[in-house]
Amino acid sequence: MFKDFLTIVFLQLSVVCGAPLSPGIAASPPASQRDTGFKVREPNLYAPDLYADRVDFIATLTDLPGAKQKESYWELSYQLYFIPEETYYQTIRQLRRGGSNPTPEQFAGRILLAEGHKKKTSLGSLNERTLTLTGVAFKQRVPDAQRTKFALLMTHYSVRIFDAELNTTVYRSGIFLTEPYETNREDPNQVIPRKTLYLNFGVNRDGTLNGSQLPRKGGDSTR
Amino acid sequence: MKSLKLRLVLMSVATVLTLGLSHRVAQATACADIIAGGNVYGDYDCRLTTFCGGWCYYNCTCSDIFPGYTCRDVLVEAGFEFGSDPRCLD
Repeated sequence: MFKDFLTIVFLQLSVVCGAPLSPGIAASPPASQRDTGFKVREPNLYAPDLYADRVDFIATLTDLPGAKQKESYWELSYQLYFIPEETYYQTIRQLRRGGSNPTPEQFAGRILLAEGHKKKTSLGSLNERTLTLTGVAFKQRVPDAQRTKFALLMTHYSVRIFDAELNTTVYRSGIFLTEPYETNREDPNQVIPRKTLYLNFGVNRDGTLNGSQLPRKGGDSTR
Repeated sequence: MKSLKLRLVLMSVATVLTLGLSHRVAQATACADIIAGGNVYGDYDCRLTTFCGGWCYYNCTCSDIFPGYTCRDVLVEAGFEFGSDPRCLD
């Protein structure tokens, strides 16, 4: 606590005293400022155009060493939620500092967009290891006033995978959060409504689990 | 005979405790879904995007940054390392 206080005092003194003492240095911004372009969120920015009418959900089990073995299985439960911007930041402030694994129930005012449960036992091809849900109503489910740029889409999942080759069961439950918009690939300066939510898992040869909400580049894994 | 039974009971208790403890450690070392907080440079809010090969990858935003500093300073102070997404699930 005292160390933090001293650091704050030191930083403030550097800013206050640094400028008149060395105008040459003060005039040129630090290197980290020159080569970066950080942005600040504008709270509750109304942006209905960044909301897609419908979103798709694609869950994939990319890698599974025992994919060809009939005893292997992949069991997935999922819920897709809309989290209002104000709710998200209120919840974050209430969470303990550092890492946390909040549940959807902690986000008051969340809107359930879709949910499902599937157990797949035939996993030989990537197509068989893919679960697709199309046309989930999104924009119409969100009250107009809550269609802000920095609201969030949440994917809550519980996954259980048994790999018969490794004779291992892996389990994980958690959330992924992403904005309702994404960068336009054709024009990186533009953002467009997000139309697909991804959920990817993979089992490594050592029995550990990989996971991601980023779109896959393609290719029929399993390595 | 009585001693053998006692040993078996103690071993069972020890096994249960060990397994329970390992589970807790494994849970504690897993990637957190959200890492949020603040330091002398500013506040940060990081959301898990990928976990892969023992690393956790986050998408972070910063706020209330101390004048003259950047989000990078905030995150470095918070213990983050900068690395690109491994694309390990392609």
